[in-house]
Amino acid sequence: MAALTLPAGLDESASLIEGLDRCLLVGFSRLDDDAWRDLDAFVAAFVGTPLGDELQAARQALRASQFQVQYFALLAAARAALQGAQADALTAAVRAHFNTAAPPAAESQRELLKLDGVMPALGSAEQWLMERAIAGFDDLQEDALTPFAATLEVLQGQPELVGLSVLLGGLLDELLAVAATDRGSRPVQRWADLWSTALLRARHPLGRHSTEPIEGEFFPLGIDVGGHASFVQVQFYGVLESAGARRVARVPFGSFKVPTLGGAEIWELFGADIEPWLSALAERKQLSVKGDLGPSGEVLVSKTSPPKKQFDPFALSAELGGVPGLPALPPEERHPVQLAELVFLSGNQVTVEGDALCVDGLPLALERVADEEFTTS
Amino acid sequence: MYERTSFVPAGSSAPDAGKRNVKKVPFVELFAGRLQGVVSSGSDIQRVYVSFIEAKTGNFYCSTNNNRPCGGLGGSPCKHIDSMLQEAMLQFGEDAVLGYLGVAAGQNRAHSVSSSLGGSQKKEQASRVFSRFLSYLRYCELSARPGLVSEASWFG
Repeated sequence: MAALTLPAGLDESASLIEGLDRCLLVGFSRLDDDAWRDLDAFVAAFVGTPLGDELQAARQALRASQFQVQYFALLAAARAALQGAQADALTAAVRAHFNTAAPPAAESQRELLKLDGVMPALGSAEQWLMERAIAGFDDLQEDALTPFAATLEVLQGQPELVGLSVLLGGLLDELLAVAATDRGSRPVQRWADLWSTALLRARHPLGRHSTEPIEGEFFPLGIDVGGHASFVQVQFYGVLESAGARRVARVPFGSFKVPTLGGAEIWELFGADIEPWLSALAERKQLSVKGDLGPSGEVLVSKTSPPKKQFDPFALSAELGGVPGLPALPPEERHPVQLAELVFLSGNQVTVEGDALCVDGLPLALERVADEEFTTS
Repeated sequence: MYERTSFVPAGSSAPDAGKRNVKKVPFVELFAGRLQGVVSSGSDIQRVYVSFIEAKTGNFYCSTNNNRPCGGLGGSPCKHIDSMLQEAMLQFGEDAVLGYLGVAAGQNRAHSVSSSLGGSQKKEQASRVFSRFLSYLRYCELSARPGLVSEASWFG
């Protein structure tokens, strides 16, 4: 097993991103000399790339206080490109370490969404995001943030824009929470992530991924629950066996929710659709599924048969090394936060270091594990 | 300090959020510098009260959604405002609510919170809060396109 080390270039790219994020914290209307140096270093890193010339032009314009969305979108795109490269390098390192079979190359065509009805709201979202960059995350005024709630409502009403709505809703809530008391930490990298991703999605709203019909047996191995006050997404991870071939796949269930709903109440959002999945996982049973397979290993299930046959999830997990992992997300969605690998740990050394439980010296992020709050009594 | 992390553990959600009484207080939020919400009438199932209490000033009001002033307001916050405060502390956590309102930490009884702010009655149309309640209820009806929402990964 190869040692798990951080890929070359990861640290340098993180420093560049950190520099840009300092500008977003200070605000482009009042960048000091240090912040300008950070921005110059960020822009200089792209010289000779397809973004190089345009970034230089954007830098000049911003320096002259010509605040236009297109310049901020360029910075967001460059930041996303660095993070996409980070995600690729990290995935390769994890797969080399765990010796995971390479996934099939993902192919997906997505068209730009034509959304006449919400174009003004998309424009407002771009404008609001630009204003955050001009003012800076250090300058959070509740009065300047709350009017955006009306724009968000319009965007949330368009089901195709769920990804953008989830980002903007989460960002607005987090900014408001800090603005209200002017206390609490400012997680700048996180906010800059949400800011840049939302800006790119608002500027280029993309349609659904192309899919191919699939039929087979799904062996659930784990579940991931994520979301915020007004949205929740549950993903079942496991192995899909179809036409004699196995692959790692995931089955997502997502829904908006009222913020009061939490803990085990979230299961009610999905009604009978999710029940066979929960019982299959609990009872270690496989499921016959029919549906559509998306480019990043997600199955959109159209039909599920009640779980019947039992299987041994640990025996199956021990074979994961030979099962192709999830294909990479499309380039526009790649980011280290998206890394999701099913791994099987066996014969490893488990130690406690400080507060952390470590496997072969690597700390486990147990705070990210869905816990008993989602258990139904 | 700049932290190289895109993920922040959700430490803000209160442990008892799932246990709060939604029938008594269907809606409560910290928004636009106020704690505001909708409180069910104890006696008439057809009636709801719309209440708010302002951060820092402590100014407050409570009326039915038809703008009839609450009879319990005698120059000081009524029981509806206290119920709303109690449920807000369950939903968002005591620290978050006290911090938002600008009340010293350590007061966990609704009435002592509202009286320590020492504000006065401030008449307002119920529609301002009630429209927030209606847009909150929209979340029950919103639909999302099927499939993976990769953007939710930030909110792990």
